[in-house]
Amino acid sequence: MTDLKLVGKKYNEFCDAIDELKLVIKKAKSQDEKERLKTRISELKTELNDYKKSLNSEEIEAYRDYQKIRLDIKRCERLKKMDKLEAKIFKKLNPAYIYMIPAAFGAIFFTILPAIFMIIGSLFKVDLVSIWDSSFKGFWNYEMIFTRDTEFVKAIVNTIIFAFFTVILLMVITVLMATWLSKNTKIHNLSQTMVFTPHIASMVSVSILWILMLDPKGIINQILSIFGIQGPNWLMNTSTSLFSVAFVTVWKSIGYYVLIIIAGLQAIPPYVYEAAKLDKANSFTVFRKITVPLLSETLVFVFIMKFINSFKSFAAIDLMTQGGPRGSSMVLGYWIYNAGRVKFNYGFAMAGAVVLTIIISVFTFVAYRFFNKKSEN
Amino acid sequence: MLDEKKLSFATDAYSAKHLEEKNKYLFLVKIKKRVKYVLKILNYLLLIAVGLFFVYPFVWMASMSLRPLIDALSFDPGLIVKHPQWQNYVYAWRQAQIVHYVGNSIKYSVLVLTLQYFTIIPAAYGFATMEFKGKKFLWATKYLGMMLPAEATLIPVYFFYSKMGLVDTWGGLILPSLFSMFGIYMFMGAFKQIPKEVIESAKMDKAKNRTIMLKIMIPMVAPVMITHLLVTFISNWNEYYWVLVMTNSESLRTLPVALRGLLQVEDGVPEWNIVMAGTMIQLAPIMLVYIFASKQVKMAMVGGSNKNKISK
Repeated sequence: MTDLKLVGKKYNEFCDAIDELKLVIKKAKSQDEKERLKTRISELKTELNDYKKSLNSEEIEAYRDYQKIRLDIKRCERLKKMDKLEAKIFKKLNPAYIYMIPAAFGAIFFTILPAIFMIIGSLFKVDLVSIWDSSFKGFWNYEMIFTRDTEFVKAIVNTIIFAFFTVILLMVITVLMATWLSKNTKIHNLSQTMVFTPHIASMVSVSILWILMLDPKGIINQILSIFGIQGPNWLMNTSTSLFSVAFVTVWKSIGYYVLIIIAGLQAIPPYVYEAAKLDKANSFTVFRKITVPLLSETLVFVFIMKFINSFKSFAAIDLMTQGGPRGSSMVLGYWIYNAGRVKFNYGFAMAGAVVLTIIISVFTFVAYRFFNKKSEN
Repeated sequence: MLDEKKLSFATDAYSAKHLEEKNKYLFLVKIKKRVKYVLKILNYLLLIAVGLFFVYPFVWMASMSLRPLIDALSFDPGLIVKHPQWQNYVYAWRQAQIVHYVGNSIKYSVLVLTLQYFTIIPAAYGFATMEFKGKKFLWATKYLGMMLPAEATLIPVYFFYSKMGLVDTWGGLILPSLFSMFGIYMFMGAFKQIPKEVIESAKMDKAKNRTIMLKIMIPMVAPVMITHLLVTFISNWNEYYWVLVMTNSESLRTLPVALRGLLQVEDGVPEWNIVMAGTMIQLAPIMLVYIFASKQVKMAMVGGSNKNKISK
């Protein structure tokens, strides 16, 4: 036993000596002295190694234990130092700020700065390559897009039509379907699963699919021809292109909103329905007087979300019609992309973006106001 | 004698008129039951039909991808292919260079899925448990962000990117996903559900914030993490707008954008069978996940967003 303690003593002596020398090195001034000390350290290390080699197996185990203990002590000392430093920093600075860096960076870089840049930039004739060459033009950009650009006003009207069409269509279809599908049998679940499928598919694949389905020779027109109707060229016709795209986006998102509404329906307590049953209310009255009012919170959320999202439908337009024919399916999101990234007309694009932001804010504000009042009553 | 009399008396009371009425009633009930049964079956059939309206196009797409070009151009609504042309997939994989774009898509998804948690979880933790100056302001940018779609901020962000040399780089492509508010809300909601006693007792033991976050909170919200992983995988695999707008060369473009390239041919119609094969490749991973875990996917997509977007 005394042997083993001796091992530890010797090991610690060696290590202490090395550490001391290291401290001295830091303080040493001349290069020669440093070199000398370094060679001394390496000498000590080799000595330690030699000593280690001379030990027998039992002693080596003890040696390793001592090594571990020493390292642990060192680690604890380091941690203590770090803790002190941390405490010093966090006395002055709230630690929350360190955690918030990512969120703050995201908010500044992707929301606040772009918004400011956009508003200012829309007043300039912008040159992105050498930004200081851009010239101040006042409201010239707005004037131009509202008067000269034939597609811009069309795009605003189309955007609003698109939003209202999708939201109303979706509202009617999803509420009816949700009340119908909201049951917990195997068939109902299967049906829900099937209806949900398009939502997880990408907009690109859904668009490509419907380009084929809506082709003049495609499936939709084949079905219509059974009933003797000559279907139009859905996507290339100025009067149908916008509604076709709107229909596709609705088709894609039905499943999602149906499931959300079903979740809302299942949150309605069953005793309400039982009471209605006792009063012998028929199913339509139940739907009108119980389901819809109790569901209104979910519905408001769903349709405000959908309304805002329908302003952002880019992929479907880009793939299916590219705003054509003759701007009949041009929406603002696509117009901005077209003006900025295709025609490189940055000032116009930013003015359009400001208009889009204003439209979205106004509609969202009105919707919140309107629905909140209604649900309060 | 007496017994007989009693019997006849008993049968008298229920004979003729009563029995007839009873039979009639029973018959009516039977018919009603049968009608209900038939209606139930009709309802089920209708349910399946409506479901098929949403699934059939995808199955049709699979059948299209296996046809030779001439058959594909006929837009035949049937689903059965007599001689499946598996070389369509080979052609799409090699000639249309889908392999390159699949690689990019996988790279993009994996990068986002792994890196996002380093930024999202601290932010969510900060929002959920800490108090600091400017919290309300930071929170209010959520509404501003809602009013400002990516479509509107396209030009300013592109400008910043080009000045910082982030256009056409992986860093620039994944950057917005790292600060996605969606993920922050989701984890914040989960963190807030953890009972305060747990955190307080940890604080009594002088645990630091990072210890609480890493060793206590994260293991407790593991199910939310899986949900979030699922949702972000689907949305990133399908991402189209951002990748299209923030890349100029083909080297970084992902599969959805590549499909757009397949559609836009110089003259004539695109080779629909090849396009369909490419689209099938794009759909395959998500559909496989959906087939094997449909319940989880539905819960993740609906439950996740529902909880976090509703809470104001």
